[in-house]
Amino acid sequence: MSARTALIRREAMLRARQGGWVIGAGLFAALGALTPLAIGNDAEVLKAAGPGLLWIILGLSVFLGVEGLFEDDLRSGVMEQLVLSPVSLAEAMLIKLAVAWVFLLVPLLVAAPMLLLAYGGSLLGVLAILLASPGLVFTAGTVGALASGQRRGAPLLVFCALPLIIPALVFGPQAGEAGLIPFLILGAYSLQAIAICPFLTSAAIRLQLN
Amino acid sequence: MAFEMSLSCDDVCVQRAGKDVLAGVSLSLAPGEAVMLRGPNGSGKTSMLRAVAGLASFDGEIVFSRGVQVLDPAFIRAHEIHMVSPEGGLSPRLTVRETARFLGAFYGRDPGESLGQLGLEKQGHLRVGDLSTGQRRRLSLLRLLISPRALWLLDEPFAALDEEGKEIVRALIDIHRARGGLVMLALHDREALPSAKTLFVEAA
Repeated sequence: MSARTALIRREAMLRARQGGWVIGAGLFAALGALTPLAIGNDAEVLKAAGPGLLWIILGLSVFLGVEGLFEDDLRSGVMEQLVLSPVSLAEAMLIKLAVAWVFLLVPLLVAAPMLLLAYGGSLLGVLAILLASPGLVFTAGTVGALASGQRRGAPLLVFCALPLIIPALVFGPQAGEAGLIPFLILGAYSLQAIAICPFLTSAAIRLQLN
Repeated sequence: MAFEMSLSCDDVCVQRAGKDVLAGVSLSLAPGEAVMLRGPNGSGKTSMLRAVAGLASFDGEIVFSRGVQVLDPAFIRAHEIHMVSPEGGLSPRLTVRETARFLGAFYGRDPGESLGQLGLEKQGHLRVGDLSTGQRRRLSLLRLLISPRALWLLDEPFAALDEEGKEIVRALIDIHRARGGLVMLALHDREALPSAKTLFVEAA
């Protein structure tokens, strides 16, 4: 087993036990189920407003789901050990973010179709969530790494990262209504995040170590 | 196997948050040598170890060499340096056995009997977070046993350990030095290693 496989296995065990994904997925399901109560039972209004609200909830759930992704490793000195290893820190951060994404995504993919159907929205929205989720998780993770040295990191995280998820908020709810374009843009949003965020995250962690 | 690496530090000044915390440390270590950094709390012993590990920014020169050949510091830091800090570098949510398995896989070695050597075979099922401070200290030495690397940076390695634990650390260091390994220790208490050089450091 290579060092990278070992890191992936360790990260999966830690994610499963740390449980941030439960908070993220639980919040998504709970807020998604409560929203119609607040909007009222007019099917037309729900259909028009539902997908947009669902995307805001999605963003919020992702932020709270990745909270605490780096704190344990920073506090316990694991990051130092990663620096003193053949695996580059950016690669280790890519593994961390990717595993966090998988753990958040799987329960979301169960909850999202049900909520979309309940709102009368298009099931293509699930594909949009699938496409946009790496971008959301990686962006939130990067800001989380920047905030990880601060106490009360979570509110700061949500506040700083909200503007960065605007592409997902604008194009996500249009999935199924505006042809191919929203999907392409959401895919591009995620690809650029995957390309950039591991490096930004590792730079942020190095700053905390120094 | 034997190590042939040497380390020399020339007028190293370590900075933290843009300020010098430690000024003008010069030392050299030949294969098999050990140095104890001594000084009161806050004198920059840990900062010096972190500078050698490439974790703190510094002025001056830190050179790794084999004979007359100068080695690439990035390669050395990825493959030939172990740092054992009081934080331990261990995930509190993994069990002792899972930690051993992870470290073995991470360094591409078989963890074998190393837990037994540290006196931790009975604690295998416990989570690292549930261990006592001394047991966690012992477990943090595991990487030294699993993966042979030329330079050990040990930050207060005797702290929180009982007599048996301290004896294990001394034995590990002796074996490592006999193989030509280098050791840098930060110590502030009375613990000492016979036959190790002493360097007093002072805050800048």
